[in-house]
Amino acid sequence: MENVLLDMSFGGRARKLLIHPGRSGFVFVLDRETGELLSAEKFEPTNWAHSFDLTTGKAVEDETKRTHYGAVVSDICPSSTGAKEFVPSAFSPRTGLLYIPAHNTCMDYEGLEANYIAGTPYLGADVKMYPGPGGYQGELVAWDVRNAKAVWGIKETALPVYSGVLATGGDLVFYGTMDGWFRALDARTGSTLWQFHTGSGIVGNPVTFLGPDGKQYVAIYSGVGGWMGAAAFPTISADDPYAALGIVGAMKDIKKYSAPGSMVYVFGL
Amino acid sequence: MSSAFDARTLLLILAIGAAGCQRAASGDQAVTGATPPILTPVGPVPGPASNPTRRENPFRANAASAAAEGRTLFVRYNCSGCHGGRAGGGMGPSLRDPVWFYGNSDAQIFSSIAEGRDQGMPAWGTMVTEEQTWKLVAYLQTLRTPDEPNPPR
Repeated sequence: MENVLLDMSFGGRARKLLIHPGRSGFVFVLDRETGELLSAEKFEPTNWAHSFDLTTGKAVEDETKRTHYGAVVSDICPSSTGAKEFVPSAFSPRTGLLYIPAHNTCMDYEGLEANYIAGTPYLGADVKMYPGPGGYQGELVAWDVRNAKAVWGIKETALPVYSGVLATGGDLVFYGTMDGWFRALDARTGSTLWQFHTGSGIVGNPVTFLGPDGKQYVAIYSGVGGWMGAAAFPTISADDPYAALGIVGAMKDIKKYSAPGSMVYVFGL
Repeated sequence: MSSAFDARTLLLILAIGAAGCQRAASGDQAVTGATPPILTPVGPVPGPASNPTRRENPFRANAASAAAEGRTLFVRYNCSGCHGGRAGGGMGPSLRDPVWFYGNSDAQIFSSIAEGRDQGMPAWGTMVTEEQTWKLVAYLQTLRTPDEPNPPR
C-alpha cells in the first residue's frame, strides 16, 4: 500500500505530508516530519471503526464488528481484501486530487484455529465476502486531499477497481476495470474522454513513456488475476462463496465479464 | 462432531505425556511417528500383474460420520487454504466441480492425497493417517450432494 508524499498546505499551513489511502477504508493524512495524524476520513463504506482519534492515532472501533474465535460476525466492511488493494493511487498536483482505485466489499468472518503446517497456506478463519452497500462494488474515487473528501467517483456495478492509476500533466487520468476497459478521464470532471476494451480484466498499472521516435505512449497490461481476480479462472467454483479465501462470494459473476488473458497494450497519443 | 477422533487424539497426547516427551501435541498434527501411517501401498508398485488393488473406502458403511470428520480434517490440515473454504478452489483447483484431473474413484482420490499431484499438491502420505485419508475421501465425495456436511450458505 503506497504512501504519497506531498508538500502542500493543509489545515492552514504548509506541511510535508504523507497520504495513505488504506485497506482499512480511511485516507490517512500525516505530517511526515512529526508523525502527527492530521486527518482520517472514510473513502468507501466502512463500519469496523467510526473514526480515528487524531490525538492517540487509535481507531474508534465498533465493538460489534470485532472478530472472535468460533463465532460468525456478519457484515464487516470493508472485507479483508480492503477498501483498496496494492494497486497504487495517483496524485495530480494540477488538480489537487488523489485518484484512488477502490473496492466496496463486505464479509462474514468466523475465527478458526490456525494450524501451521510447513508448505501449506492457512487463514485461521472461515470467510465469505459479498458486495457492500450502495449497489456497486468498485469505484475510482477522486479525493480532494486539502479538504479530505471525495469530489466525484466513477462506480463499477459488479467488480472492484483493481488497476493502478496514472495522472498526467495534460490533465488525463488513465485506469482500467476488471471487465477490461482501459479509460482516459478528464482529471477535473471525471468524464470519460476515451476508452478501449482490452481482452481481459485489468489489474496492472498504466505507464506512459517517450518512445525512441519522440512520441508519447501509454501502456497497460491486460490479464485478470490477483486475489479477487482468481475467481475468473475455470478451476474455481462459483457455488462456494468461501472459495479462494472468501472472495468468490463477491466475485462469482466475474467469468461473465472477463476471460483470463495476458497481453500488453501500447497506445500512441 | 468427532468424538472418536478426539478420544484418539487425547490418548495420543496421554501417550506422549507418559513417555516424558515435552513436545506439545496439537490436534491432528500430533499423529506422526516412526511408523509409516499409510498401510495401503501408494504409487505405482513395481512388478507385473501382482500389484495389489487399492481397497474401496472402508468407511462406505458409515459415510455420513466419516464425511463429517473428513470435513473437520479438511480445515485442520489446511486443505481449505488452497482448495477453498467449501472446496470450491483457490490456489488449488476446485474439488466440488465435475472435473477430476486424476479420477474420482475412492482409490484415485486416496492416491491424490497420499502421493500428491503436479503443480503444488503435497504428498500427505507421511503426515495424514490412512484412516484420516479415507475420511477426507468420504467428505470430498459428499460435495454438492444433500449429505455434504457444513455446505456453503
